[in-house]
Amino acid sequence: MTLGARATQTGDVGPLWVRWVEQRRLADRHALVERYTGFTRMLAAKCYSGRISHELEFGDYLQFAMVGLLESIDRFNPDLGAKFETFSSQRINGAILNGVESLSEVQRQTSVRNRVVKERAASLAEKALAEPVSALERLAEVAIGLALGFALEDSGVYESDGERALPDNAYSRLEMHQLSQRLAECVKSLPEQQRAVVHHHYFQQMPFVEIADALKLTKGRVSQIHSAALLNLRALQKRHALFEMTL
Amino acid sequence: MVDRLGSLTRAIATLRKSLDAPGAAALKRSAGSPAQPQRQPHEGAQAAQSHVGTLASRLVVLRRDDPQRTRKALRLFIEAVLLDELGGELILSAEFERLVDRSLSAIEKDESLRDTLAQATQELFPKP
Repeated sequence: MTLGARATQTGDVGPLWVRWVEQRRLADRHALVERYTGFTRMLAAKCYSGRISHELEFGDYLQFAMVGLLESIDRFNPDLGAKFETFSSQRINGAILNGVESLSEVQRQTSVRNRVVKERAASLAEKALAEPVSALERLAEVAIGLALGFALEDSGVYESDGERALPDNAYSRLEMHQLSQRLAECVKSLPEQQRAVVHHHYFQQMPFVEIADALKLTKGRVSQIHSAALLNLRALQKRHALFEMTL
Repeated sequence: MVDRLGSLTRAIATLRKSLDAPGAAALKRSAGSPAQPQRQPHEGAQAAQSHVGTLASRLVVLRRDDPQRTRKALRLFIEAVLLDELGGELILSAEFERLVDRSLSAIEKDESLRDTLAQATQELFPKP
């Protein structure tokens, strides 16, 4: 195919395509991006108007679409006879859908995680605020409960992730690793209901309301069982640590 | 529950005693010899050697004009509490520092604990 044919097939932007395909100069790539930005924005707007989730903003859609545009420009071959708009629209729409899916998933996970930690803190706070102790003692009690929970969650990481279990700075992680493992071991000694709540909440990241459904309890009751479980874990952890020291 | 907050309560009482001592001189003394075993009653000797019990010497170095002074003090307190509770050897671990930050951050985000944080700050920096 001649250069003239390429130019004809791709319309008034033909010479730019010819230069880009032949010479791969960044300036031509930028010019092509500018030329098709309006088209890309239109595709992003179309996807945005038909969205079913309202988590993301138009800027997110446009960003994903621009990624699709860049990939299309790099891969388009004018010699094959298709119009660039036809070739790229599939890719741009695909890039938007992929981006929306991955970002929504990250946002969903972050949101679930924040919710889980928030209700955990509220559960501990409720218990601490009911006790006639000083603010420093209340703060200490909540901090200990939260820290035990975070360490407990990490015990899953150590178990499931071989690389993280053998890090470069193994020495500095050793103590935390031991604490996490000790706590995971202590969970086995909890009464059945407490063990179930801890397992669902810390190992499966389930919010209290879902645990309540699963165990046929009220959310408030799950919160009570949760704070009682952490108190027990605290005592068990201390006993285990003392026992390890005597070995 | 056995000794749920017993040792911690004693350590906080020791800390409060150090903080209530008149003037910065008392805090500086505390910084020079954090344990001060000769000044403690029998049951307070252990508490005086705990991280919480000796926290006053670390609080005194926080500059009054530091905009982060309050947060730093609360963080030091939580760090000391967790070291006493979970084991002093954790101080070697970078992961432990992250644990302290995560705990403080979760507390700060809980609205029901806002008053507790404010009161705790007042307890850490008692007015003469």
